[in-house]
Amino acid sequence: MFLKTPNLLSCLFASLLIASGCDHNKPPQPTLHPDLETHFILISEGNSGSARVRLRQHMDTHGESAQPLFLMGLSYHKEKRYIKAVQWFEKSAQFDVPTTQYPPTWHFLGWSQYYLGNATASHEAFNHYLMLNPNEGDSLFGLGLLAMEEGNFEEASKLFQQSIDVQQDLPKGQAKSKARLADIREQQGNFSEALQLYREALDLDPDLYEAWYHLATTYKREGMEEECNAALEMYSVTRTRVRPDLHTTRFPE
Amino acid sequence: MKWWLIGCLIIVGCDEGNSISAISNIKFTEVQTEIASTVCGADDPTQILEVNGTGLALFDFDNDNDLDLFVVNAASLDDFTSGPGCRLYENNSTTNEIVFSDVTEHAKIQISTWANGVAIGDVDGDGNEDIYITCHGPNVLLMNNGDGTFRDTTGSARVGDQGWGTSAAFGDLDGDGDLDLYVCNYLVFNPLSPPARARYKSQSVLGGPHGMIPQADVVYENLGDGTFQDVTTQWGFATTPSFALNVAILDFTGDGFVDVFVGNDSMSNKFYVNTDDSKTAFTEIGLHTGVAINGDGAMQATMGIAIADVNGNQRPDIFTTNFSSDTNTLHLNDVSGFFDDRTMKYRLGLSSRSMLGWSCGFHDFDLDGDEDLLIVNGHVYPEATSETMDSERAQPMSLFERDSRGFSKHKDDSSSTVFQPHRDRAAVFGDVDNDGDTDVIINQRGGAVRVLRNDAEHTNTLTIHLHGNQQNPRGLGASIHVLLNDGSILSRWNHDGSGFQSSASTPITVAVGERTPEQITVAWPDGTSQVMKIVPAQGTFIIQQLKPTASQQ
Repeated sequence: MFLKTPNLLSCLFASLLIASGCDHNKPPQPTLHPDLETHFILISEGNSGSARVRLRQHMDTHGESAQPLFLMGLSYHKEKRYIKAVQWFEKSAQFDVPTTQYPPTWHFLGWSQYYLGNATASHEAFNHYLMLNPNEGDSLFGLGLLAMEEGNFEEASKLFQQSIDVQQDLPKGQAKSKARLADIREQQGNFSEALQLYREALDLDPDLYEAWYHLATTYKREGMEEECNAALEMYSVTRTRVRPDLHTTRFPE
Repeated sequence: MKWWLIGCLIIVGCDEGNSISAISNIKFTEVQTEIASTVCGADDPTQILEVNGTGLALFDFDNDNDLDLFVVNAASLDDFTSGPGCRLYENNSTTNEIVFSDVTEHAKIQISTWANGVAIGDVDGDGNEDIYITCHGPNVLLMNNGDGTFRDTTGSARVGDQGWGTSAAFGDLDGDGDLDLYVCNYLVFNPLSPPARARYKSQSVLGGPHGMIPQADVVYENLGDGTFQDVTTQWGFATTPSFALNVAILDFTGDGFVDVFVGNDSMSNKFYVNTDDSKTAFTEIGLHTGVAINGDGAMQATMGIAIADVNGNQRPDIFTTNFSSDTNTLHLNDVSGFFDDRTMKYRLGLSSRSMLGWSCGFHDFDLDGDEDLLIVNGHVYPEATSETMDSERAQPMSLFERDSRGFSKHKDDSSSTVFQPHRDRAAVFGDVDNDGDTDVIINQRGGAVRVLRNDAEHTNTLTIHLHGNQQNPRGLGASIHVLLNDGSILSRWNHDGSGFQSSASTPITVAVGERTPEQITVAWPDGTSQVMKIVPAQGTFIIQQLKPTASQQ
């Protein structure tokens, strides 16, 4: 029933997720039906409105099913309109038997709920996805953030470590979790381990600008002024390169 | 199997963590007053000038030991100079009723241009609080004559900056005893050529600040003769112009002299510290100390500022409110000189994502010995709905109670009007009815001014009045540290600025409950400090600044 998604589509999917604030580097599993590839590409290119029109046409013709409903949700997720995204993801999630479901729905439902500040619903969605795909590092990362929001560093540390362990082939995913683990160590006063983890995170992903920033502040705490200034410079340069939009002057989206 | 178990544990943990505090002692009642509604452009704003609303000030203008109210008013885009005017209300409350009487005409206050914010300080050290009003256009200084009237001395004092003033604050920046002035400017806006509409979350919205030109802030030195001079460049404040919305002046670094924190919209915040003995050489170190951005390395849209010692290390921490779909931010002031983003740890992050926050304040609303947090909210875009922007235009205030794990959202009593959604912007905090607890006055963007009377069950409270030196009689910029008999230290800062476009020059209230205050240490803004070892267990305590000794001079 499902065909392998072309490599181009995987790349687009990864970039879409990163742009949406969800640095997930894997293509959706299982892959999308080829009839929906155009819709997905439209979403990834920022043409969410056009994608929604076509998705509605698709559902008028073929009836509602998990994948087009998921893409409807994804089109709003891409626009950072998370309440609308949740509505569609939840419709997609009603197709919850293995023959009809589309598992990434729960992962994105988890992130949409997170961005709406709905911790409990976010937990449930991430956990549901992990039941279907226990090796999904980005859902583990999301659960780690939720644990941090609760001040539960022990649980957060476990989750970030699990996220690292299951993402051995995904350096960017590992890097994010290592940086969060480093943040926990920093908050616990273990600056030497924090420094080590920030360095490891940046070895894995030199574009992780927030890690450069935290590395700088940790150096400063350790009295390493020269290293601090160098890391701050790297933060500024990297942030400008990776997120030029952050340097525009507007209300943050 | 293993994953099932982890999932279950996480869900259990989450439910516990998100539970709303079942027992709450914070009790507000909205009371009716004669305070007139405010205006800030059209009901549905079409230009950025209309979105920020107007400020409030709580201060004792007539020295009768209660808090009077100044309400800032704007105008309409059609006629910038003919608004309803700023209003002054005298506090005539009784033990049973909060009453404000409009005395604007008697006070000879005639400001009907487009005004935004207000700062309060005794500019000439005559014991009477003066008013500085930020406007879109020349700002205004109203000197208090001491007889219930004010006179406009803007021209002679040379403080009529022409920018789009938002917030302003008085503080003794150079440590010479008198009150200098920091004025935040936002951006260049011409109503005749407004910016094009923009897009936010795929919706067409009013334009700005993206693409607009930020205006430089202005710093004025008080020369002590009724005049000021612009020392922005001379003292090191001439950094890259930013969209400044708020400022707080107090000693953040613990070196005995005041520093300046500036909250900017959509740009890095700024943090100026005194860097040499002359006390007039400030350096901007926001990025190097962690307070310019949040823990994700991102700039935010800072509107409100609140100051408190959240982690009990006797240093002022900084809480800022931000845009919707972002989180508010708590920066803890570490002894190493760093400000760490600990928003998540104190559970103030996720709960703010649907809110667009403005004024905020840490106060011990339930008089249980720790400071709670109140934030007023409201979206800038009239198009805002949950469907379109994950955030409603009118929003309820957010009230957090301090607990052992950080902050817990206060249980919303839906039968009360207190938590009804509004388009709020400004709020000031103070004991309006002189009953020992902290009341709240809120100004929405164009609409009724609401008074929330605090009905906390009373416990032992200590109300501290600071009497500073002659040039700074309210001791603005001072820090107060109350040592209790259980060894804990409650720290407070008496400063102008923060909130949002507002000022609350009020006495310091400290609830001690069953504990006994053993010692109070005051660090004055001129670098001197004094320790009081004989402290009453409750009631009003006046602390007079001692004259510096020869060695201190």
